[in-house]
Amino acid sequence: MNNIKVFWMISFALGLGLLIYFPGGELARSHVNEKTAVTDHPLTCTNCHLYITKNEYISKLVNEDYLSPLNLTVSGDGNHIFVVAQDGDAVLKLDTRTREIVAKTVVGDHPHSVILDSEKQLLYVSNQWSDNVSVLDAMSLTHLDTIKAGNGPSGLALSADKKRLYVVNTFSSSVSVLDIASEKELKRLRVGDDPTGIAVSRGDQIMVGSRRARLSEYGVPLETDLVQIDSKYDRVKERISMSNAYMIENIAFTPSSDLALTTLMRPKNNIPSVQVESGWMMTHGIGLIENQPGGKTAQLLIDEPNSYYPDPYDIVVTPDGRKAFVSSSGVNVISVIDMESLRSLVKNSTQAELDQLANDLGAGRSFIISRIGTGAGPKGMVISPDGKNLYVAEQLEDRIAIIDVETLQNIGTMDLGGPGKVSVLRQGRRLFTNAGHTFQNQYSCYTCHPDNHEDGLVYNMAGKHMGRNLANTQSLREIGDTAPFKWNGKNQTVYKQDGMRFSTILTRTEAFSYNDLDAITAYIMRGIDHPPNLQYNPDGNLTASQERGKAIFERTVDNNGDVIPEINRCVTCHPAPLYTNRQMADVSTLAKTDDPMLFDTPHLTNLFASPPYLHDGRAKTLEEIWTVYAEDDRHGRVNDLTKPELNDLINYLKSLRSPKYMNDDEVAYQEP
Amino acid sequence: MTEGTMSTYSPGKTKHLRKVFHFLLVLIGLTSISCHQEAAEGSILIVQQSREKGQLQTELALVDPERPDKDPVVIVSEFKELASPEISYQGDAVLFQAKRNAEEPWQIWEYDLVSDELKQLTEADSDCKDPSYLPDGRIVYSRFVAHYSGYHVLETCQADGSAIQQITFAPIDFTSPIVLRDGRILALAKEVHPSSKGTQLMVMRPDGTKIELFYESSIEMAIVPDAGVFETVDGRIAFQEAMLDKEAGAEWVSVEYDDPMGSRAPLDIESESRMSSVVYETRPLPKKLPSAVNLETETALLVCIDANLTAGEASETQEKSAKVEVLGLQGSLGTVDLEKDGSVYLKIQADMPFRMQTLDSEGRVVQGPSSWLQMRPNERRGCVGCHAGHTRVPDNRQPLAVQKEPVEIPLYRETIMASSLPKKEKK
Repeated sequence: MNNIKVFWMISFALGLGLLIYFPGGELARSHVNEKTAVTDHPLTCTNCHLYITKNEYISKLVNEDYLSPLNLTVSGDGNHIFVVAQDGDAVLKLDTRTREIVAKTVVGDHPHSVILDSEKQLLYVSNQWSDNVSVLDAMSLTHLDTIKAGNGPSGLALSADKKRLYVVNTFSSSVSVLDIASEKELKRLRVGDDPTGIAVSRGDQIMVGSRRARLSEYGVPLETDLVQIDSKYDRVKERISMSNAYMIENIAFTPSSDLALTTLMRPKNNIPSVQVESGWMMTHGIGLIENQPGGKTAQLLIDEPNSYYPDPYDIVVTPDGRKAFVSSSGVNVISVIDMESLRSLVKNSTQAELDQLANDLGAGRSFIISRIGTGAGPKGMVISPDGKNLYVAEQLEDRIAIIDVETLQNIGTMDLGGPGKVSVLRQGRRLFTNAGHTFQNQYSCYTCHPDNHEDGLVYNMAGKHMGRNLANTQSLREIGDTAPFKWNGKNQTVYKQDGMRFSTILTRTEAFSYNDLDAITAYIMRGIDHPPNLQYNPDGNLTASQERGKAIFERTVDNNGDVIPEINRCVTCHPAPLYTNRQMADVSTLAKTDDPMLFDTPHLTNLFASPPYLHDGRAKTLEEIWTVYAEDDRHGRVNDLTKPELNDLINYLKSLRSPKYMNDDEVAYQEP
Repeated sequence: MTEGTMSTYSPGKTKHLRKVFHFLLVLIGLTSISCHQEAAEGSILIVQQSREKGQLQTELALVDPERPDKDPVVIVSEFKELASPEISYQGDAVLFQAKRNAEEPWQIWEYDLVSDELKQLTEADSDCKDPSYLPDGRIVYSRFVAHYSGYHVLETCQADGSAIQQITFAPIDFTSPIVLRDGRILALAKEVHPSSKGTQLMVMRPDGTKIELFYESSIEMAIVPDAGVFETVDGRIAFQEAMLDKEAGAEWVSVEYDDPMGSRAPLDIESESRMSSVVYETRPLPKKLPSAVNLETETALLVCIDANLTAGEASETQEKSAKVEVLGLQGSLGTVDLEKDGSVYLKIQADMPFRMQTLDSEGRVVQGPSSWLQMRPNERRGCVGCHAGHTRVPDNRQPLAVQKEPVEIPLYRETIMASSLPKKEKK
């Protein structure tokens, strides 16, 4: 009897298994085909579901807490370096002789840069997502104080007398001049858009770069500001326009301060993106400014005809002024510049000739003397005071590389104690920031999506015809639940977005392997966070203006007392928490140069940080969306609004922030 | 009974044989080969001549470098002539060109080291030679066409010889194709019409799109085409160059992939010794480039950013162009006005060789004609300027021309047929 029972139980289980396996297999195949838009993606459930899950327990289980060093500085005696661990919200102190960590302390959210006052042994650390600066004791890393800064503090500089701290505010595009003794903000100076890098010359002149170009109409040459601040009066002295360049991440002066050097990129967004060959999509280089009245400026590429060095991040000059180093995080390379050759090139060239060299892939051969490989994601660099060692923050390795400045050889690393293993999400981030998946390494995902966001540019991807279908680059922050993707909504999943067609149209080289595709999809869907919106909505308490704007956003009746059709209410297409209904819409923005199409309704989270607006970037500001491009009221009922009401609406829109930061009231609002 | 061992070829015999003379030995540095696996692993692949029943024949054989006294293991022996062997990336097959008798054209063959199967891949009525593996398993080779003074076009086919696609269409003699690590095909290229020019190195994607110059010799030097072109283990591109005014003295030189025009240097002794004896070792698989070609489309799009742009600074006296004329094999295919910014946007008949020259407002030639160009069906590409120099990247400005519809070329449709070379029929 028992045997019969066992027989039937086994038979039942087998039958059930077969039933699940075969029809289930077909269902799984169909599901995966639909999601990936290919027919041969492996049918391993965990490949996707394990790493894009929102379940925090599973997420903790499969992911790791990395440190991600970004910037660093060195002590006056060269015996210690201080490293900002951006993902670890920490600062680490390492002994350069033993290569050991000697201290570590937690600072604010998402720290960016660190600077040392050697005399007072004080460290200042900018906390980009906390809008403040931590003051630490350099000996023990004891937290001493926190100073309020502007929005998104990043680059730091000290005045010559060490009494003032200059803090670059990335999100509000300004520089705060802080009096250290009183901790008061003496001034806030408007600089270029999205700045991070700052440097002080020997003469106490300050230069601030910017990463985004000035907003302008599509087709107009890009102009990006390099701002000189007169530290004597703490006022802007000059705005140097770097034409056709952007992403000026960092700046360095030569020891004599006769030259300022910057990193930069020269995008080709105004040209139809029909090929990668011949630098047709993106080029990368350095900026050079002769620090004297009437001095020359130059932009010189560090790329070569068949090899590119994307995402140049930092630039440093040796104490003797003989060499400079540029870190290219897109290819994990440090380019070494012979300064004498560079000076000779500039000296022997007219300004017109230098302008020609800005587009010459052969220029670098006259001054680049070596390329040094590094680990994943080389970012900030510092040279020891004796000029012997170059320290490089390998952001995606959780370690510091040490390079011998004389021999230009890697001579070791300093481990920061991050997780030993590379998680799928981490692998995805490495792929995201690495240009190895584009033809000739010309650009990475990060290139057009710096800080995992967007670069503020409009591109002509020329999918069919040139000059048509302009596309405003979209942010990749927290887009995991905002499908479909692309302005035309043609990609229902990130898998499809980054699959074969991506390779044919955009990267123009071999497509991602499925393992890599799974990893980069996981990273894009779950690995990228929005910063908090401290600028417009620090705690969920809306201003009176924002409250009025919210009412307009949610209104059902216009100022004339007429009921607004549901389809024409803001909140219909942009409901919380993501502020998109994920539907296609016609808001009367189709241009003559667009193919007939509807547009995917974009999410509005941290909208303030994403100018220009609309699918082709025609609206430089939120105001323009309705004052210039909404005559027929099809992008919401707005033409009945008064100017103050429109201001209120825009103030509210700027307050929108990620669901991660929403308080109970906002959560209640999102789940009525 | 096979007799004889490694042969030395008469340098005057044919250029293929001279190539074989230079590249007689091919190292198999790959590890997973069954059947002849044990024999092949670490062995040297040689092309040797032997005499079978009084008839001279050419064989493919394996030599154990550890035991030079041991007879070579013959793996392919049924050909009168055999040359240009290449090991597959996986190390499981050998491609080569061969002919069974002297009268028949060269064809492409593949010997499978795993199954011992010998397979003929081409059955063309003209020479097919210099085969190379593409990373997706297809094959690229040169096929002779008898137009003008005779030249070679490049074709690709599947691993079984099917789906032959001609990928070059201009009267340019494309020989010795190899596959670069970036996935593109690099080949020797020599224009044969309307006049013969020196040999250059040209590069293109495996679908024939984005053909462009890779390297050209300085004015006093010339590439020696018979020596072929190779990628060294350290990634340099090696070939022979000779002084134009000297009959002898060809030397091996190499250029860097990154910057070929700016990195010419004599090939180092170690690499040169590899070139003359050992060519191949374990090779990384090149990138598999996606194809932009759509054979259902008959046209391609070309934008020139500024036809007036020249390398270096333009002199003030230099005449500005007002038009660009597109020339086919039989004459003009149309003249198009340049936009104010010097740009022009063309929709060109695909797979049709053409050249371009710039004209002033009176129709006089300002510059050109250019070298032969071609566009594949559905290809979209751009050029910075007609004489901008190979290192010049475009200015970041929207060309005025793309704000309008492209101008179709040929303007005169009846010239299409006269301007197109006959294509090989697709299998």
